[in-house]
Amino acid sequence: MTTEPSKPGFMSRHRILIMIASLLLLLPPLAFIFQATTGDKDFCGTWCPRMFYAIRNGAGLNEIVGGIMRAYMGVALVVGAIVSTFFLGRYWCSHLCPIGGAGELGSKLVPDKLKLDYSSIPAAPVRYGYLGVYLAAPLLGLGSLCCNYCNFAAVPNLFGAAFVQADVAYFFRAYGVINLVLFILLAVVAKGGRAYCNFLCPVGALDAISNRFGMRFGKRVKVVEHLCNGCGKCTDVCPTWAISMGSIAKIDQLSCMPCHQCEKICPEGAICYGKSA
Amino acid sequence: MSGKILLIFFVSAAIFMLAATYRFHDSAHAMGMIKKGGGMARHPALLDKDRDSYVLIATAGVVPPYQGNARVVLEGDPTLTATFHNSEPALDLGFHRHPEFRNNTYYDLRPRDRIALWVKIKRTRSLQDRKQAAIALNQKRMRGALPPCTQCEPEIKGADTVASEQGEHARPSAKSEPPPLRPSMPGSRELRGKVVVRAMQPNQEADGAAKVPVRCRQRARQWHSMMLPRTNRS
Repeated sequence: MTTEPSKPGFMSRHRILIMIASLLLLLPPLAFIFQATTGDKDFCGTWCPRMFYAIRNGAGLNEIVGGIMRAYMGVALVVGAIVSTFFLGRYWCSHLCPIGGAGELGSKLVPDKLKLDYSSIPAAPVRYGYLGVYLAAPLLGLGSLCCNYCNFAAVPNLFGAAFVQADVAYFFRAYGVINLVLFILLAVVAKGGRAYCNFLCPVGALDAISNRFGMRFGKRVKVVEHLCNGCGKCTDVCPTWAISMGSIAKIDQLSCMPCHQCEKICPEGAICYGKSA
Repeated sequence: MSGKILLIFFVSAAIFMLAATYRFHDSAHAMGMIKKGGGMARHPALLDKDRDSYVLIATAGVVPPYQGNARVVLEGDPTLTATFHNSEPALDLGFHRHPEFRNNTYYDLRPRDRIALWVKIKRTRSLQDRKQAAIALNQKRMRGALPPCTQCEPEIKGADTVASEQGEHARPSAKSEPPPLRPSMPGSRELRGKVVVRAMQPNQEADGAAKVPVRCRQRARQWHSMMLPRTNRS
């Protein structure tokens, strides 16, 4: 049986354009979607996709519901991302998230020889170590990773710093400097530009769980086993180092996002996006 | 699940737990609300002592029926120099109204507005500065006036007079007395129908911390203390 190489779809062909559009729509100076809907200027506030599930010790039901109500657009964003991921794969992470997109697009401007390769570190245990602490630390009253280490705050402030003094002020403190350094080391100078997403994003971690559990029901990037010759070109281009190479390529759906880089580079057309057989 | 994966999981969890528990006390987030009868802090902030500079983000929602202008002042002892930066869109596309922030004053605050203010704080450290601050404070007490706020008066249309701490009007009131409001903060004083909700004075606490209020006013009639940050004093 032979399988024709699939033609790249719209999301594959126009990924960079979609990412740039996402930056324009969701990051300063325009932040069009925030301004047009709720009047916010960035993800902090109504659109916060992180704080509502970092429940602190002693919080009552009122406080939890209040947190959800306060960040209702962030809740909608996270729920929408998780549900769409279940059926279609992690398109929020790969195409639409302006924070991950800013890191990846930024890394394209850095020469390859200056880039740091984190692919020797298994991403999933680090990511879920982070998510575990993200959820448990406030619940146990030990502290919080929320806000202090937040790329959803740091990146918009970085983009807005050229325009607004308040955004500059964000970086005049230890947490601002740490977030900036993390963004540079784990995104801008990281090979593939997605190490931050892979290690330190709780939204991405939740999304990845949905991706893993929905793999039987929804569309995913997959390897057509009888076409794969094990050349390993796909592993080199994968920004989330989700592909391991044995005799043939194997995709870890806990890290994969449908960026379609592997699909484009595969000389045999052995990687395609579609429903599981 | 391999042992290596488990090891990486636990090591990373330990590192992130350390990061979560460690706090850099050069910055903090104070959450509050501005409402009729006085502002209040839901989430006071704690800053470390003996630092040259701090960054504080103070966020607050405007609780109905509060409406008007609000001046923001940072109080503290020793004197703290602060610059306020309102968090606003880089390019305002004009879809929504935002309160204007000018000369440390919010203009046209309306119910359910939310404000976010970045406060860059610098400490005056020299002995000379401290002496000057102490002299200024004493003079202020002797005068019984509140200089930062009286300066604000001419800017606000229809401003009423500001009562002194001794209960004397600085100038005769041209308007009818506003309805008395219930003081909500310690140190509140009610003066001839005007409520001066004094911001929390710099109190020496058990841990050596002093409270530094961000104080707001509405149409020069009511004093609202929205404070919220707290800093240690040396």
